[in-house]
Amino acid sequence: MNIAKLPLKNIISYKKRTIGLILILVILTMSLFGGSIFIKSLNNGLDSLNERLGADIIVLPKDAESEVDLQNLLLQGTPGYFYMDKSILNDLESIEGVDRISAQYFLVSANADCCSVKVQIIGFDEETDFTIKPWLNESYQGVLKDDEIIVGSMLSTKVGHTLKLYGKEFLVVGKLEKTGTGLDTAVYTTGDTVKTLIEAAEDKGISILSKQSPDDVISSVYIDVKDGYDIDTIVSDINLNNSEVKAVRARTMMTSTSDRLGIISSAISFFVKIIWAFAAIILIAAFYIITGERKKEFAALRVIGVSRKKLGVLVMSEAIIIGIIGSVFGIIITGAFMYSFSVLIGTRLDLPYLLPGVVTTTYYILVTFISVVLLGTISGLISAYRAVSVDTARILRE
Amino acid sequence: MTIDAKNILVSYTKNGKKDNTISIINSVDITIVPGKVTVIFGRSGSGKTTLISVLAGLLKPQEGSVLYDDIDLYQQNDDFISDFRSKNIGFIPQGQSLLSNLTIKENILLANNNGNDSDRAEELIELLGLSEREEYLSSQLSGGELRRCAIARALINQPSVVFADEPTGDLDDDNTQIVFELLRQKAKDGAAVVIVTHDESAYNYADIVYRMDGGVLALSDTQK
Amino acid sequence: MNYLKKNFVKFIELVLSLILAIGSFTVFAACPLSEEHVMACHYAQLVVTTLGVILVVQSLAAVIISNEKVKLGITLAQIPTAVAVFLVPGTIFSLCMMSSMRCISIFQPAVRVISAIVFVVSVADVVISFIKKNKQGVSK
Repeated sequence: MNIAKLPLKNIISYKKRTIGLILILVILTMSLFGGSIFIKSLNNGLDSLNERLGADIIVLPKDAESEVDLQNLLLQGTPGYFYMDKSILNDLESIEGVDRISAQYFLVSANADCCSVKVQIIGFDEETDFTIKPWLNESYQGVLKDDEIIVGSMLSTKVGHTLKLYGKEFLVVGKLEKTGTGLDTAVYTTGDTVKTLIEAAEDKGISILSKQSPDDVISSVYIDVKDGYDIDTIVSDINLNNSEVKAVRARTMMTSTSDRLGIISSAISFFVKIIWAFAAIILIAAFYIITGERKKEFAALRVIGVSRKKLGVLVMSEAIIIGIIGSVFGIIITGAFMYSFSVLIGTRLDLPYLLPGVVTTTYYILVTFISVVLLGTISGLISAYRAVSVDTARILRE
Repeated sequence: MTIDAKNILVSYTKNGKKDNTISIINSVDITIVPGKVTVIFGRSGSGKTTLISVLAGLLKPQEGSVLYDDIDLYQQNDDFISDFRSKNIGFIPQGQSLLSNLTIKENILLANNNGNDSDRAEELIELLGLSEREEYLSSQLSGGELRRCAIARALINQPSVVFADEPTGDLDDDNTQIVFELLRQKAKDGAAVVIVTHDESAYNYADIVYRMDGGVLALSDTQK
Repeated sequence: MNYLKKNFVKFIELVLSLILAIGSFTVFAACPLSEEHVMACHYAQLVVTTLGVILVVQSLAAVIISNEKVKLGITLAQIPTAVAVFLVPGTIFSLCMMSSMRCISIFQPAVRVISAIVFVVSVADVVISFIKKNKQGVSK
């Protein structure tokens, strides 16, 4: 037994005190680490959604639901479909200032095998596509053949397996990187395959199109505007000249999402700050009170020849050890929860939610650890100051 | 080691007001010699505890000096004084002063400055009749056992000076005798022993007797 | 009171096992049973519930039995059970098609988190018991 072993001994033997202090530190850690990961995940989700949209203008059929449907698809992964006449594509192509233009086809599977869940099928044009392919290329370089599909990260089907859609087997040739958006729950294939699927569905008696032939329809058109042309002018041009369709700026569509995200982020960071302020006060007060109650113990140590300096180090060490234990516990608990239930959090939020990668997470772990241990150290410093100012002679007289 | 304290003056200012000063020790001179038991009698509040706190380097007086041979204690910094106290001074405080989360043996060894002199601790535990209690926590001990443990802790480093503050305060007659005998023995071994007490039975063990009253120290007229 | 204090860790294990066993078909149950076909997650859930009940029986026995050696043996046996529970959803049984479905978003993480805690607590319990035993052996 010597003085160096005393901090650990004290931490172990005064269980209630230790647990109480660690609990406060765990709350501090959880709020900071959890809050940072949460806000970062929301921002990541929005960034990846912006990236995935990758177009300036989106053209949709002009019925009330199509825009809402597209938003639901992007944000929550709720499957949806709508169609408009294919001829619009030619009209749009001829507009001055249009750089790239590509159509997409949406379809919803009646069911897929294994679990009964409807799957969004997105068909794109191999030749003209510029929004999906850059993303697909991260996981699959080849050209999609008929009856081949690429699946979003949320589908548990593996590459090389097949997926049954409308009674037809499709080979999974690629799996996409996670985006945290509704696009993760979709299946991607060529426009031709979607047409085949529509026909297959109609063979099974599931009517998808009222009168048109699958060859005559598209679901949406993505437009990239040439540099130097005003996107808003082109949007209003399209809306003025085509009564059947509605053009929206991709960024406008994201505004409400990013607004909601902004509100949630600031609310969370506000709460984190409040929790920190309160917990920090409680922690410092707790250390202060505890030190006051330990005066006799400190006086006893002074009597046996422990210098003021050593006494301060002793009290500080206790605070730092407790700080380390508390922050490590808090980080493990929060990490386990945030990473295990990330899908649940994302679905409940109805917002794009993408957890940060290893590097960013490590950064947050370090920042949290340092902040919490630092706060522990500050509380320790205050107690240490109080401990060394103990008037030994006065306590001896009491 | 001879302690030579000169012109010690300790006072407290009440509520920080200068004109509200209470004098605790008033110009006290005292010399403590090795090999003798010095007993300071006095009622509570007479300034005895404050005086030995000053002598043990725990309280810097407003005026005066404390010399251990040729070392002027209060001319040194806290690190030096603490180290000096640890090595040379055994202090037995009044009341319960053990760390309640440590066992008797751990409490004694905590004060040990040359590593873990387990043998010396065992020896003291044996000597003080605490053998059966060495793995007990201090909360499981009686008042007499606690006091004996505090004495063992004070003696672990073979100090040349021992201060005992009311060492028999809460003890029965048997324990009182054991404690005084032990301190007497320590003096025989060459240490300077200072006992402050209001227990007149200490008189039988004293070589030099002082009486303290209202912060003033005087050699007892019933000097041996 | 003293009894509860002495068996505190065993009680924690019991409570966790109960949460696992009951929760597996209530709070964090896997995907609902469809009329058309029974899904893999359903079987995974049945297995988790069964293992959960085994854990409950084990920890209950550990609470009731007073023989320290038997206690230690039961706690040791809880470790592989906890590992098995952890591996059931997703590793031994493949679950639903979409990660957003209940069995992957709620059932799997809940089962894994609880079984991981049971595992850590049991291992810590066994380690502490061993240390205590050794200490007693030395001092006596």
